[in-house]
Amino acid sequence: MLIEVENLHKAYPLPESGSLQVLTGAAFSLSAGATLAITGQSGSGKSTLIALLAGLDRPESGRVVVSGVELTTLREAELTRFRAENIGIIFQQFHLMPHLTAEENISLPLELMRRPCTREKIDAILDKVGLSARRDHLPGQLSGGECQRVAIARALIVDPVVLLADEPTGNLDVATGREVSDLLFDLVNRENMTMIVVTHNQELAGRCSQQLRLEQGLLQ
Amino acid sequence: MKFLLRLSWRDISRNRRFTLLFLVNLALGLAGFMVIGSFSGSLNRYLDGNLKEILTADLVLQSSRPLTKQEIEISRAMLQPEARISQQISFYSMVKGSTVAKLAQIVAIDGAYPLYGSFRYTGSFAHSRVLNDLQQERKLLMSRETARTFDLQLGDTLKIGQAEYQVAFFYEQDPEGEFTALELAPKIYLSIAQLGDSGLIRFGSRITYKRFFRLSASSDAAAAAVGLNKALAAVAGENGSVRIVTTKDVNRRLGRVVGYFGKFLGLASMVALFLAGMSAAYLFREHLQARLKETAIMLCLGANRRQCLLLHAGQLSVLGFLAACMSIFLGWWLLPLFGRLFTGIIPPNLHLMLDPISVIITLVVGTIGSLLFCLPVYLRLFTVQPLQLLHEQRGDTEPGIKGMALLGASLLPALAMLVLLAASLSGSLYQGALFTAGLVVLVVIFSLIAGLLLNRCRHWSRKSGLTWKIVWRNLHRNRLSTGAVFVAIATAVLLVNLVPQVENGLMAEIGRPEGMELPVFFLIDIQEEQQQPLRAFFQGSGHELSSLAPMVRGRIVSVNSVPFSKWRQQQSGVDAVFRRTEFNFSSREQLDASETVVKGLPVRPTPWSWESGQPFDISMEEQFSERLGVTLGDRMVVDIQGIELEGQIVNLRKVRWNSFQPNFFMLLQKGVLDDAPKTYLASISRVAPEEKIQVVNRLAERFANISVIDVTRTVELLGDITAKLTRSLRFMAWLAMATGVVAVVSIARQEALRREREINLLRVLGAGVGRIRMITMMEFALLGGAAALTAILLSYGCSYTVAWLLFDRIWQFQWQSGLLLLGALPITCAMIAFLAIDSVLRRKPVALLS
Repeated sequence: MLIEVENLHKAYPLPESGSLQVLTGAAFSLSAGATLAITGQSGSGKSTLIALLAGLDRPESGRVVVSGVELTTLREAELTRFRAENIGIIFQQFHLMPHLTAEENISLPLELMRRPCTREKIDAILDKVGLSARRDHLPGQLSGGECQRVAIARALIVDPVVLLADEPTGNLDVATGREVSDLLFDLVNRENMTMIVVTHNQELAGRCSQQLRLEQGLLQ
Repeated sequence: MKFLLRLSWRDISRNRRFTLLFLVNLALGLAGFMVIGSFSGSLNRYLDGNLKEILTADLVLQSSRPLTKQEIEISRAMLQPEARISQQISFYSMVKGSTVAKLAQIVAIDGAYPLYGSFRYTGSFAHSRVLNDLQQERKLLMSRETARTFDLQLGDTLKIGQAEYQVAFFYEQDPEGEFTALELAPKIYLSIAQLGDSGLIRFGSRITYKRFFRLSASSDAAAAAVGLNKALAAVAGENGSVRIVTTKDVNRRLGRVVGYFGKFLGLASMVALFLAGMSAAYLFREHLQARLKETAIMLCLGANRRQCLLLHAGQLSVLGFLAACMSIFLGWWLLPLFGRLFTGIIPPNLHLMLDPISVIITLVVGTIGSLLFCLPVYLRLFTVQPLQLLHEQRGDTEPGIKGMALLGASLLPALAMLVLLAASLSGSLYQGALFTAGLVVLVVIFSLIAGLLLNRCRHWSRKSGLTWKIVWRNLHRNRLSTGAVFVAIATAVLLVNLVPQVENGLMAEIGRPEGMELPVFFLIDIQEEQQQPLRAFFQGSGHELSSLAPMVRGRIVSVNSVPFSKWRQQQSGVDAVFRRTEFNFSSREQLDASETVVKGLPVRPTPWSWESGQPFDISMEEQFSERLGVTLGDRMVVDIQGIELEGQIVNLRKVRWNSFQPNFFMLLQKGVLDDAPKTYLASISRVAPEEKIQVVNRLAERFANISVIDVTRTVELLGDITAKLTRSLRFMAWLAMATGVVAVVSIARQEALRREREINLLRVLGAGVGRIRMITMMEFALLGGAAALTAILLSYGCSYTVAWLLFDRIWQFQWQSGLLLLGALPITCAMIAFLAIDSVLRRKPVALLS
């Protein structure tokens, strides 16, 4: 299995006292090349689960294993390195650097890891996401769909083992959302990548090879 | 690293508004520091390089009597027989021109003067020719300005004592004339060979005899001075009346004069730096707020925290460095203007230039200081988590006790830097710490007042109509930014209003001491036998001679049986062998109106007699007693005309020296000075301005030896110097004000941008542009007005305290500048708000939908 999640527990402290239990023993596994949709109501813990899978947060208990590496045992610096090299993340709100151009945003992860960033590689990925003509534009000069394409390109530039997408079409209109999801699945299928998508969008979820629903902190 | 730098530069260049405001803020704050540092540096360098020229020798023997043959032989033997020697005799005397008689400083020189430095003559005269002419005939050398004050031309004659001398040469600059503004009377040079004809060298004349030595280049003048002092002490005792002056003494004396004022200016410049730092921290806070998400993105994409911290630290340092460069340029531009404020006080040949050490310090302070000022904000980077990208709805949480403690600790490096800077400017760690503590206390007071007022705004909003309701609510809601504006304005206004307030009291007291009548003339060198004729002279002209006081020159031999030189060494902890031991003593039946006993009992009115075997009573001036390290009950042996007598300090007096009445450091019991040969001092009041010249001319005609000091002229001179000095202080205060205004501009601008969505929402809901503009302007006008009022009231309190502590409670209410500031500040703030909000209002409210 490429991804193994076992008995994950996560709670957030409440402002007054006590805590809010978000995940109570969540578990699943995913093989390489599979695509998984996680659905659930708002506040059901979808984003928390993706944060734990990305190593952005740590569980109270349980294990998250990606490519044979148990994330919960890694130290902060190791986790950062692992995430940068193996996990691509796509956010609902794109989260692009506003003062960097589309091209610079895409090459940012490679620059941060001090990995070679060739013009050919950038050209190829820009071509894949259909933004060759917009490479020198700032995020403020791009439409929502184009911003998300840049975010997808940025996630793919490091050739990640797994792609995590948090509501990738949540900020887009129906038509643009469909375009973006087409692009996403096209790229994932073409590269035989593993992807986990958190979404409300049933159409998007339906395009995944597997689906899980998060209810009361448990995956069903 | 290269990538981080590129990213940092990209961020700076894309956020031009933040960059510009940050740079202007810090540059203005550092500019004052730069100017003061360069001014002091230039002056110190000048003094260091010209000490021998100012002293005109390596070493000078100085005494109030001619040196004895033995002393001359000893000095020759100790200071190498080949040393070049020059002599000078100087004293103050009345001098009569064709129409005017005035006090002048008569300087008689020999053919070897000056040993260092030179005269710059008006016209092409050889120095040797001038000296030769002075030696051969009764000729005078003076400045053209001096000639003008005596209404003289070249070739005219001037009466000095009993003889007439011809004005033969003018000089533009003399060797010792570096600080001419502080001179009591104009200088007139003549030859020692021709001085005898004047008949002024006689008992009672206060004459200074100087013997200048120029040693070989390899000699150590300081060591030679120590050796010579020991040798002279061996023959005259430790309290001999010959004083040895070296370049070190000149440096100390001039350094003290310049140092005091430089210290005040330096500390005033620190206020500007403090305001700049505060404003920079606010700007960076707003800038960083927008960058927190980007930091989270970077962390998410693989950047480690060190890279993120480096990115922003680098950004701050680059900005600080650029601001420092701007401030250096600004300092270079301002320095000549600043120097002009001191015209007549600083040496005319002083070339003001950027001081390399100040440049380095400014660059270091700019580069590191920007980071230190912003440290409390910068620390937020440690709390950024990439997880925030998935939970954007989470707002800022209130910092807990640990957070508050960390915040407090993060302020310490910036405060430590301020302490060190203030200490370097004031020359004392204690004063630096005290100043910084004062500034912090002030900010805390202003913050508390702002907090109280802003909390009250919530209450006022409940009872107001819509416009005022929004105004009060906004003030209450944005307490951090409005509080920062309040503190920035109040601190600057306090300083700006404090300077004229103190100056006003000081000027008023110099010109018109409270409860006292300022004399018009002060008379010195009155002989014993001239008392009655002088009284009669003034009675005849309808004036009254007052405060006639005897004066006897003597030495302090010992204090509590310890030789005086050793006593002073013990008290001060430094080598005091070259300090003066001669002082003027007097006695009076009752104290003058300008003096009060503050400690101890009055001096006994009964005359002291030698036969009593008891020490006589001594009344000592309070500050003088502190300088000597003596107090009530201490016994002192004084040498009066060769007779040693013992007295005991029975009281300490406070003297108002600005009364210009004959006052003395030491008053001795009646009877002690009876048999000693003495001269008298007196004052004359109520002489109409139009009578002054006539009275002095007649007095000089009748009593040629009596010197007359024109008190009203001296007061004018002091007023002029005070005005020049306070002008430079005002310069610094206004620089602080400019920094404060830039801080307000920065904060207003950031606030306008921050409220953009809110403003758009109001417009969408139907609020007119005029109303929104009015709301913002009223907010800032209220803030400016409240801050100005608070600061003005506090400045009156502070100025009163300063006057009470430093200037003998001289305080006078000065309302003009306060009223001006109170009127101007709300208008300025409203205008700043108007401009800040304008660009936001010009955008379409549809932006709300994007």
